[in-house]
Amino acid sequence: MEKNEKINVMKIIDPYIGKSKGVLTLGRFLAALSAIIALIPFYDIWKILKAALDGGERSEMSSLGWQAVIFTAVSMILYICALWCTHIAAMRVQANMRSSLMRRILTLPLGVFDQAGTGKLRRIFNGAASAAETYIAHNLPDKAAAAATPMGLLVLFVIFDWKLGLICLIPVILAFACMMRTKGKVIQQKMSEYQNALDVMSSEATEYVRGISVVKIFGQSVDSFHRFKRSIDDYSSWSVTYTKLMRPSMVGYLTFVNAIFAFIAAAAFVLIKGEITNDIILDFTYYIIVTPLLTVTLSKIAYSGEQEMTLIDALRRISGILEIEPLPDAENKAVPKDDSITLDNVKFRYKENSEMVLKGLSIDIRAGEHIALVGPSGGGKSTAAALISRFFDVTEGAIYVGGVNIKDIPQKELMKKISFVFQNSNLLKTSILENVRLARPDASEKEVMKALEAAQCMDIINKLPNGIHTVIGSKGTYLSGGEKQRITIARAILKNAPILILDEATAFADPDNEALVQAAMEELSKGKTLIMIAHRLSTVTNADRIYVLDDGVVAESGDHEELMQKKGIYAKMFDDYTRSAEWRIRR
Amino acid sequence: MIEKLMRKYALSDRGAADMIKACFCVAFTNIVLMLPVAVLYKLIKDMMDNALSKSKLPMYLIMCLAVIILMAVAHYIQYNASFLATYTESGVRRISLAEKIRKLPHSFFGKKDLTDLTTTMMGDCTQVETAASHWIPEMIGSLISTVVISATMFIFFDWRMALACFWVVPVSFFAIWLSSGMEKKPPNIIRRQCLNWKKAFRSVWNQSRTSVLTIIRISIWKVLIKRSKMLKSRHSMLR
Repeated sequence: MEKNEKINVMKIIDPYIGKSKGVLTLGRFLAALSAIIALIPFYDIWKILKAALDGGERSEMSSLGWQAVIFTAVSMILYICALWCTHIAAMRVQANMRSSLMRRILTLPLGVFDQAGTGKLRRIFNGAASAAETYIAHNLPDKAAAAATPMGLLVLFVIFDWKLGLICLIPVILAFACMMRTKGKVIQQKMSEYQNALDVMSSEATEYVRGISVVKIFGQSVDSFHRFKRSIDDYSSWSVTYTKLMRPSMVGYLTFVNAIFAFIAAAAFVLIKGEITNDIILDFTYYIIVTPLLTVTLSKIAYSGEQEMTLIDALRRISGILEIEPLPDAENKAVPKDDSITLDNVKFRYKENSEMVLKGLSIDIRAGEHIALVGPSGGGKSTAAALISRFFDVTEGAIYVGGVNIKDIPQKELMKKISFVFQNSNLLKTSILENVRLARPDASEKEVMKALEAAQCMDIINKLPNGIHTVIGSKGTYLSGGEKQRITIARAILKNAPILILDEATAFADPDNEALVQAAMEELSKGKTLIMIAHRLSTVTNADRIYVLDDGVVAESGDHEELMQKKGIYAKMFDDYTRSAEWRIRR
Repeated sequence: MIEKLMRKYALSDRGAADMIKACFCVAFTNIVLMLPVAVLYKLIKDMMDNALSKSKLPMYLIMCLAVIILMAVAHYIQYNASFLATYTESGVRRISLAEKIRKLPHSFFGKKDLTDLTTTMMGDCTQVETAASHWIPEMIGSLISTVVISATMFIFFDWRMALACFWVVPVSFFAIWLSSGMEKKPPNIIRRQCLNWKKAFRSVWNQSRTSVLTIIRISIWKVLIKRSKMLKSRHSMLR
């Protein structure tokens, strides 16, 4: 960890604590108190030893013994109370953290969810919340105890025989020196390389699982498996290197921390001069009994960093997401005049310093016009559509809807104006009725039925056990990709927004579905401004205007006839397409 | 036994064998950690007999060095057995998991959230890794060493002292066993409080493990007290 990167954990947790702050402080105080009280029995032991050696009263010894037992019990009860307090605070923090993160998520640009993946977001947030919980519930009280113990110990050490006490501290210092080595620069660097190997492995794992359908269809281990295997091997070898690197320090630490006995033995020869009195025996016995406590305390301190590292890591992941600025909502609150769309020299890149995806895109779409975006994949079609719905803000240039810059249109207004149907349609795990109704929560069941009918969904509804009340995803009711898309089209029909963005699904498995989706889309786009991102050219021939996007700019535009006459990119694409289609039919 | 371990902790043949080895290494290390007590016992004994002359210095020097070297070796072996072996094993586990996923029916991938699947695959592996390298050998190993040490103490020392040392072990195990079922059930407020108890007991158990070592040292007392009486009588005789 670099110094400047150091995160003050308490500062981050602070806003989430709220009223529980007092409880947390109390818990930490109780834990420290418990640690101090736990040391008192050791003083009793000294007194018992003294009494035994000096031939004191038996009753005195047993009363001292009971005193030790009582203090131990008190210390334990205090510790439990401390844990209760910190758990209350921890639960509060966890709950507050979750709800405030969820609220924050709602303000993020829509595009973030596509980019980061919803699963990952969920994992990061949940991970951070539970790491914070463990940290507050267990580490904070233990840290308080670990801080209090050495002070008490030092008193116990020095008041009886400071020379012996200091000699006992020598191995402790050596052990700490070993521990410090693990925090050195070289090891830190190795640690970060190890972390990288872990990250690479995770992303390769995702790739592998994603690619598995392909792997299965072709029935063989393909490249993705080898890459994944290599990343696993890399990770293993990094782990092994790292462990080997840590080995001398760890072994040294453990040996020194347990070597106090040798120093006591040596002290016996150095310190004892002349006759051995009872007092000397008393001191040595006492130190023999007390020094293991030092070992325990040390280990606690040595390992306490681990949990903190986990939490810091989790918090860093969160801040990576929270750093994404929410798109500023409109200040001017302008309302679009009509349903036209203008892209004015739009440039866009996903991340700073990365390559521009759109390099000066200018498109004019009149209200009610049907246009199609075509072109090779990676040409910027989907990005352009995402920018119109303001998933992200443009890097340069501007987008106007109805003559108004979309940055000046309140998010709600813009969403009323535009509806979109994507390639991968997401349905929530609830009834079809509710899924369609998301578009307009006040819609009646009848209206929903009408929308479903218009979207050619009746065959889906009819085959489901409870009709539109069937919960999707439950008890084996799964819909195919095309079926899902038709349901989302019904959603868009119900919303009835004047501007429509369709990201046409790529190849469907069955032609029936394709025809139905086609019909549903036609129904939907009647009398609306339509932007269609087309992957198959058969659907675009009717469009009023076709834009061919290549490498982030408009390469050609015009209607089907014009473009065919130009004999440019489009004509070539169309020829290729018809040939492949014919080939498919003949076969 | 090996097969049972393999199933329970998702280990390969070698992994299971390694885990058993790691357990024994932990036990061995713990027993080696008792040797300093023997040295100190001898020291106190010599002091009480007033027999701690300079001529014994070489003997103590050799004893201490030997014990320290033995401890270092034991820790080295244990470190290798638990950490190196598990990290090698973890690679094997991940790859076999990947193979398994490849063989799942195709329909499975349409139904399951792939991100979840990946998370499960990687996250669980890391967890199993930590458990296999840190907790399981530590736990089983210390169980073995505690049994061995306590048995020798019951035999060679006063059984009442031994009992006083070791009553914490079964009690804490009982407490952990009692509460271990609770985590599986859905938590309500009472159970949550019970879990706090469990955590408290756990920490007590951790402390008791070291206090066992401490209290063993205290068993020197018994001898001590006897000797001190002798010493006193000797003193009074001199006077």
